[in-house]
Amino acid sequence: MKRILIVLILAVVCLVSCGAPEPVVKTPTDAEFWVSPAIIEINNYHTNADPDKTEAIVRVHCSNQPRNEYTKWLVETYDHETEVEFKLKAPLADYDTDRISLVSSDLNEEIKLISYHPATNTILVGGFLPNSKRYVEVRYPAYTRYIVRPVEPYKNNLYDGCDMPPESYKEWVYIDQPLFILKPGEVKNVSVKIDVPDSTVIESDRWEYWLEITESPMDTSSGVSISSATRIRCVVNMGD
Amino acid sequence: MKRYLIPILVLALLLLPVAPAIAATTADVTVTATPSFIAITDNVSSYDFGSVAASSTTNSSVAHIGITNTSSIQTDITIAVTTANWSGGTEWTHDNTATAGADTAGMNSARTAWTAGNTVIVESSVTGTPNYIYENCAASTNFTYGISLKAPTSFSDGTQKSITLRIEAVSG
Repeated sequence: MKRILIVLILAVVCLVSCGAPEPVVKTPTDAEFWVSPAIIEINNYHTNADPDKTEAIVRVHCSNQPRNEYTKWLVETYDHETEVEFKLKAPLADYDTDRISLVSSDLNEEIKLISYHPATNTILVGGFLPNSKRYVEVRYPAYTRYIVRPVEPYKNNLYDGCDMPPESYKEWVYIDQPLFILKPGEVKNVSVKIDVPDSTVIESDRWEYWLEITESPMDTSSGVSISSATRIRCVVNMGD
Repeated sequence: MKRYLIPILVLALLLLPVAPAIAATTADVTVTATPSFIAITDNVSSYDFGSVAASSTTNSSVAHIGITNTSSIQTDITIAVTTANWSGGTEWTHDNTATAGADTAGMNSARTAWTAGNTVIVESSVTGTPNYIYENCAASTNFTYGISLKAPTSFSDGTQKSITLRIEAVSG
């Protein structure tokens, strides 16, 4: 009897302390752009709920690989024109103008950087020959700009038992920093809340919207610019 | 027997705080999120079809664009262009049935081969619906794909046209 009791007690203690094994989640490498989690669920939501109670944190990780931008422009200068302004699509890393490389296809001219304007992310380049046409190649190290925004899910890809979001859902989603820049390897925690006005009538008991996280596209001057986007399912389960 | 009862009672008391947490109902709003990652990147940033003839079809290799997918869960991956038109000079309309017309272009994509049944129309996410290029893609599964341009039947100008193609991943 004593042995049985000891075994029983040990079994109970083991069950309480160990619990069910946690599923192993493989974290992407530091070289990857990733977002987490993949699915957020807000439970027992009602329209006068405290928005702070709906807060979810979305983590956005920037690849640790240095990003080098390359753009090729066809530039035509006119009478007396020797300077041309270019807009860089991606933010210049560390505002380091020494690492901007400029090459003209016209070997008779020596173009050079005159100034960089961080507010507009533009460069002013001088040394062009007037009345001439040439290709200009620009290379520079860049940081990555991210955009977080609510988007409508695809009707043919709704989560289990979910409806499409109510028409005004975009007005109810609050993202503390919808636009930000990350250096290679950085992680950003973005706070996302919902706040539905008290008077709103929501027919659905369970609806979803998606949060889209996109990287600013790389500079390109060719036909098809290729990019990728990640989307997080945000499911709202309405309470009584 | 009595001396065994005491440790059993103590254990039962220790267990008590656990039980109500499981069974209790509450009016509070709660947020749950299962640890998981969506991670998808492409290995090229652009594709240039070069100079194309009217009514021509130009295919890239189906291995041309590589997708590194290190998501920790199954994902549904769709493909679409992000605008209704190709920009540059007289814009081309992007046709959602991949049918060429005057200043109207279409696009297809394929993962394994340029054969019927393997191609997926690349629609505009503005005027059409993104299609699956890889539905139920298992966690940590990389793949490649290619794109195909159906050039307009006639052009209004020779200005280079541009459009943005986007792959999107969401939990599947």
